[in-house]
Amino acid sequence: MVERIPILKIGETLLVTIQVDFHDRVALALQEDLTDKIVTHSSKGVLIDISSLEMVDSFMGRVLGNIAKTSRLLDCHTVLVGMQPAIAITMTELGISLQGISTALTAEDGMELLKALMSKKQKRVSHGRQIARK
Amino acid sequence: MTTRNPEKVILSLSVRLELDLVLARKRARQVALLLGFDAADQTRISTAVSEIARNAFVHAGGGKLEFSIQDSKLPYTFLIKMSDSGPGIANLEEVLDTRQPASGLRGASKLVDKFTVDSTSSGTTVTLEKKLAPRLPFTGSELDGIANSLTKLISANPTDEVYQQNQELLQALEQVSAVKAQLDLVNAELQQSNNELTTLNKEMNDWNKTLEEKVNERTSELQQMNVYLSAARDEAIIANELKSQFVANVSHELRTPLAGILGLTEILVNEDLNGDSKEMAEHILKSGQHLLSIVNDLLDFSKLSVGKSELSENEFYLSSLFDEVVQSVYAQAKKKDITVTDSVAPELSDCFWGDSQRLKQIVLNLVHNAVKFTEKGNVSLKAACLSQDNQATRVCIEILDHGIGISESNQTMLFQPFVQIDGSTTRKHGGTGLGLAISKKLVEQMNGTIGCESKVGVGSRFYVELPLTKLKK
Repeated sequence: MVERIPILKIGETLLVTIQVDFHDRVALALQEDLTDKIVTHSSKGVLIDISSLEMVDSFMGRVLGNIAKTSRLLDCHTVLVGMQPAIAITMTELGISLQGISTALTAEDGMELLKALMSKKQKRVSHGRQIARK
Repeated sequence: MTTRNPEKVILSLSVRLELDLVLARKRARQVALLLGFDAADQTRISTAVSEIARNAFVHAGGGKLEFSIQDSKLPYTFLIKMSDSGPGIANLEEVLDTRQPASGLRGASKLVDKFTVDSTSSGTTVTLEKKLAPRLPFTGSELDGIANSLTKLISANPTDEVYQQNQELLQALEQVSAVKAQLDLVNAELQQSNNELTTLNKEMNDWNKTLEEKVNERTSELQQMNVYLSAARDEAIIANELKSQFVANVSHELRTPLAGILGLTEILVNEDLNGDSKEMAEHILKSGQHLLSIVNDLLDFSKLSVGKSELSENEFYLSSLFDEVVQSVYAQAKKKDITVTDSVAPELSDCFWGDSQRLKQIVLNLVHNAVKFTEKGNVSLKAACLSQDNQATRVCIEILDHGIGISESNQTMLFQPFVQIDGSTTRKHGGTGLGLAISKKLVEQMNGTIGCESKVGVGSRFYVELPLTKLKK
């Protein structure tokens, strides 16, 4: 009985709110589910809310990092929001650096950031087309 | 290090399932909160516990997590001990090397004040220490309060409660398996003693078998022996009968010529012979009469032995029977200056019915012996009534003398045939040695008993007890 974290689709983005015990198997299941959904819905952005997460250890850090890397490969941006200050301190002390993951303080900020990232991408794409037309 | 300081254990739980990791870090956070750590430290502690618990879970399949405090010396510390019984960490230095990529353990070491790993091939113990804020030592009630709070925190969440129950179950399981191990040990011991007993039993059985065989062997030997013996006994009985018959026949044959000799000698004695010849003829007569009495005894005994003798019955009075007996020994007694007295109890004055000849023979034999072995004094012959009813009168006839007496050992042999107590007395007193044996047989034939009491040098008492029938008038 692996608990699954619900993934909500809102337009081009996927919304994940971690509100259950984020144990190892749940984390790995999330990674898988998220990858599937990104492909299924051709999502361009993922917003992960970890505001109710009490801690992030090296394993979870790694999983979150992997999610970001994988989604990036699938042409999708990941934004982590709602990290508690204590977790931020601990992660720094642990030496976990979430490379490739953008962060925002609140979900709202996160959505803004995602939109910005996606539009930047679209711009770049349209720019590319323009070049091609030229 | 942690073992040197007395610790107060707050909580211990076992890590066996992945879900236990979640519980472990939650508990760590709760305990940290209750011990007064701030939010950042709570997260640090929780994270560090997550790291070491995961390490034990991944590498050793789980282990035991213990939260305790050390408040016996400053600085007071919060101790977290994760012990497992895995194969140990082979490359411990490498794992903890800061130059290597970040590992869980190293991460944990950065989050606490002191980090110790004790790893052997039979298990690993990771100890985390976090200094407590300066404070007074923990009291018992304070610790109880912490324990209670932990219980309440669990109850707040049903899932956690299930986990907690799971934990308790696991602990119980551990105890059960410890008990089982003990039981197995005891069982093994029992098995061993059972084996020993079985062996012993087998030996006993073998031994029993041997014993049984031996007993069987002996029994068959005994049976064989018995067969031999009974054959020998039969032969002996037949031989004895033949002997008695032979003696009877021979005695009978002897009597005829002896009667001739005696008759002729009597005539010769009465003839007119000169001095010496007459004396010799008288000697011949005496010797002949003696010989005749011996032959008669032999004949009697033989007849009694083969059961040919039969009792005849006639009327008689005991008093006249006694008188006849006394008359018979009168001459002999007078010669030795012995008085012979006889008395019959008044209730025996009636006329009896029985074999007076045989009875007389018995009494005469006993009185004769009494006179024979008494040098001086008197011999008394008495008849007393022991009991009396319609059928029979039981009579005791006793003969007392003041003779030489008979020793106790000799008394038992007295009624055996051909036994005379002492060769010297035979020469002095004569006799065949059959008298008492014949008397005994006769008394027994009359359903009576014969016996003797005697004291050497004082005298003897012979008694005959037998039933007599009174003649009814």
